[in-house]
Amino acid sequence: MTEMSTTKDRPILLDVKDLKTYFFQRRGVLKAVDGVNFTVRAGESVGLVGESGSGKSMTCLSIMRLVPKPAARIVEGQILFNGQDLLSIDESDMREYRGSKIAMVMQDPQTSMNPVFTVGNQVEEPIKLHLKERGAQAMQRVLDALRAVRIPSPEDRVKQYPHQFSGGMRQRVVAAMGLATSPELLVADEPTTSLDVTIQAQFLGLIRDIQKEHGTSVIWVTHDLGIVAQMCDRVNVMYAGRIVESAEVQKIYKDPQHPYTKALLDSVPVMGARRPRLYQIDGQPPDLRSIPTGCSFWPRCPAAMDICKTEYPPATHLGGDDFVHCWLAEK
Amino acid sequence: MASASSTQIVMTNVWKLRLISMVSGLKRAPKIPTVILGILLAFGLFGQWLAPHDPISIDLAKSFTPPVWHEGGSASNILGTDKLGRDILSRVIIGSRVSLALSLTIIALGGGAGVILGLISGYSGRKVDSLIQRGVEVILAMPTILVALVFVFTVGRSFESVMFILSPFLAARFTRIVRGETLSIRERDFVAVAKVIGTPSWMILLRHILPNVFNTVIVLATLEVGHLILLEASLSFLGVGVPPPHPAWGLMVAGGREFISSAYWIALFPGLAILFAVLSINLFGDWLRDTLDPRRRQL
Repeated sequence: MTEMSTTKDRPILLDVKDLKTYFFQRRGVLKAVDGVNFTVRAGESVGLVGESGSGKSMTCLSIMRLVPKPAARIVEGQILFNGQDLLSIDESDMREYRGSKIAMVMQDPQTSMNPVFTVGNQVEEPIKLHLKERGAQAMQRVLDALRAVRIPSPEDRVKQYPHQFSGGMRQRVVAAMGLATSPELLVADEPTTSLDVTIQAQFLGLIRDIQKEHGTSVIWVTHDLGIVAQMCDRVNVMYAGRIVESAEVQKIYKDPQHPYTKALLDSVPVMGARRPRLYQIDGQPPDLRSIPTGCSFWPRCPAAMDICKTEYPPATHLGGDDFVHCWLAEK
Repeated sequence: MASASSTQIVMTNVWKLRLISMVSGLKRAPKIPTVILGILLAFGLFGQWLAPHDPISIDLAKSFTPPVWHEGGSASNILGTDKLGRDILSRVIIGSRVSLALSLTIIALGGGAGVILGLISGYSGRKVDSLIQRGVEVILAMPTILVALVFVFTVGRSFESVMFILSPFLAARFTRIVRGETLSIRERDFVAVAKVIGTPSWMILLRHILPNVFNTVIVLATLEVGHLILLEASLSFLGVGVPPPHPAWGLMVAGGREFISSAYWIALFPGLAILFAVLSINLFGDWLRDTLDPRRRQL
C-alpha cells in the first residue's frame, strides 16, 4: 500500500497498554488477554491475527468495555483513546464513546439485526443516540449512510425488515450503523467470515473507500492473512493472549521475526507453488488456563531454546512501532 | 418525494405503526372467533340493554321453563329459565361481564407486572434475578384454588378480592416465561450490536427485547384469558367467586349441576358460553401473534 509510509508519523489514536482480561472460572483463571500492547494511529488499518482462541475478539471487546460479565473482567491495563483512558471513565461516559467515536462490526450479519424493526429504524438508532438528530434530518443521515455502503434504492430499503435483505447486504447495513456517526475507530471483528468470497471482496473494498474518505482507523480481527495483506498497514500477531509480533505489513510478509509468524505464513497455500504438503504447525494452542511457563509458544516452536522454557521474552523493538517477543531476536 | 414519504413512515413510532397494521390487518382476522369475541364484548358493554329480562328478577311461576324448541318452552325465555325462574339468556349475557372484566383486569394487572418483572429478572444480573425468581417459585408452589379459597373466605366475596388474589399467580407465570425469553434474546447479536453503538440498558430492554418477547406475551395472554375464565368459573362453582345473585358463568354452571338430568339448559348454555369465549380468544391470539411477526405478516 502506498499510504503506508505516511501512517507511521500520524498521531496515535488508540494506545492499548498491558491489557489483561481474565475469565474467572471454577476450574481456574483463564487468561484470555494477558498483557496486550499495541497502538493504532489515525487513519491506520491494523490487523489482529491469530488462531481461534488467541484472544483477538476478547481484546476488541475489552476496547469496547463489553467483556461478558460477570465471567470475564479487565484486571489490568490502560486503553488510551485520544489520550483518555477508557478503563477509568464510568459506564455512561463509555456509552458516549461506543457507537459515536468507536464503532464495531460483528461476525454474523444474520443475527446482528433486530427482526421486528425496519432497517431504517435500526440504522437510525445510533444517529438518534449520538448525534441527537430526529425526524427528516436523521432520516437523511440514514439514507446517506446506506448510500455510503452502496445499498441500492435506500429510500425503499429503509422500510423493509432485515429478513428481506441478503447476508452481504445485512453486513453492509450493520457497517452503515457503525459508520453513520463517522467514528474515529472501527473495530471489525471477522466481518467477512460468513460472506462468500465475491461479497467479501466487495465489502472490503467498500470499507477501504470509506476509510480513505473519512480517515477512519480500523482494527481488523481476522485469521485470514489474505485480508490482512490487502487491508492493513500494520499487523499484530496474537498467540495465547499476547501479541508476539507487531510489524508493518510488508515487513511481516517479507521478513517475519517470530517463529510463530513464520509458521502462520507458511501454512497459507500459495497459488501455483509446488509444495508436496501444506505446512502445519504441530501441536495445539495451549489451554489458556495453564499457559506454559516461559514463552507460550515454545512447545510448538522449531527453534525453542532452554531459556524459552523458563522466561517470557521481553519486547525487542525493531524500529518504528515494530516489536517482537522472541529470544531469537533478543540475541 | 420518495424520501419525504419514507421519512414519515420510518419516523413514526413503531408502536403506532404496529397499531395501524393491526387495525388494517383486522380485516384479515379469522372471521368466526372475531365475530364471537365481538358479540361477547357487546354483551359485556351493552348487556343491560341487550338482555331481554332482568337477570336477577325472580319469577317462581316460570321456574324450570325449557328452551323455546322444547315442548312447554316459551318465546319470552328463549333459552329457558332456572330454578328461580330467571331468564338464562339474560343471565348468560350479563354474566359475560364478570367473566370478561375479571379476566381482562387480571391479565392487565398481573400480566403487566409479570412482563416487567420478567424483563428485569432476565436482563439484570444474578442477585436481582434470583430474588425475583425465588418470589415466583413461592407463588407457583402454592395451590391456586386453595389459596384463593382461604383468601376469599377471609376477606369476603367480591370482584376485587378475586382479582387481588389471582393477579399474583398470573404475574408469576408471566415472569417465568418472559424471563426465559429475555435470557435467550439478550444473547442475540442485535443486542450486542445495540450495546456496541452505546444504547443504554433500559432502551435495549424496551426497544430490542420487549418487542421480541411480545409475541410470546400475546400468546400467553390469550391462553391465560381462557384459563382465567375457567378459574373464575371454578371459584364461582366452589362458592368463592363473585357473589350471587350477580350472574357469572361459573356460578350458573354450578347452580345447574344438581338439575343436569332434568333441566340440562341451566348448566349447558353458560358452559357453552365459556367454551366459545375460551376457544375464540385462543384462535384470535394465534392470529394476533402471526400478525405481529414481520416475517409471518406477509404470508
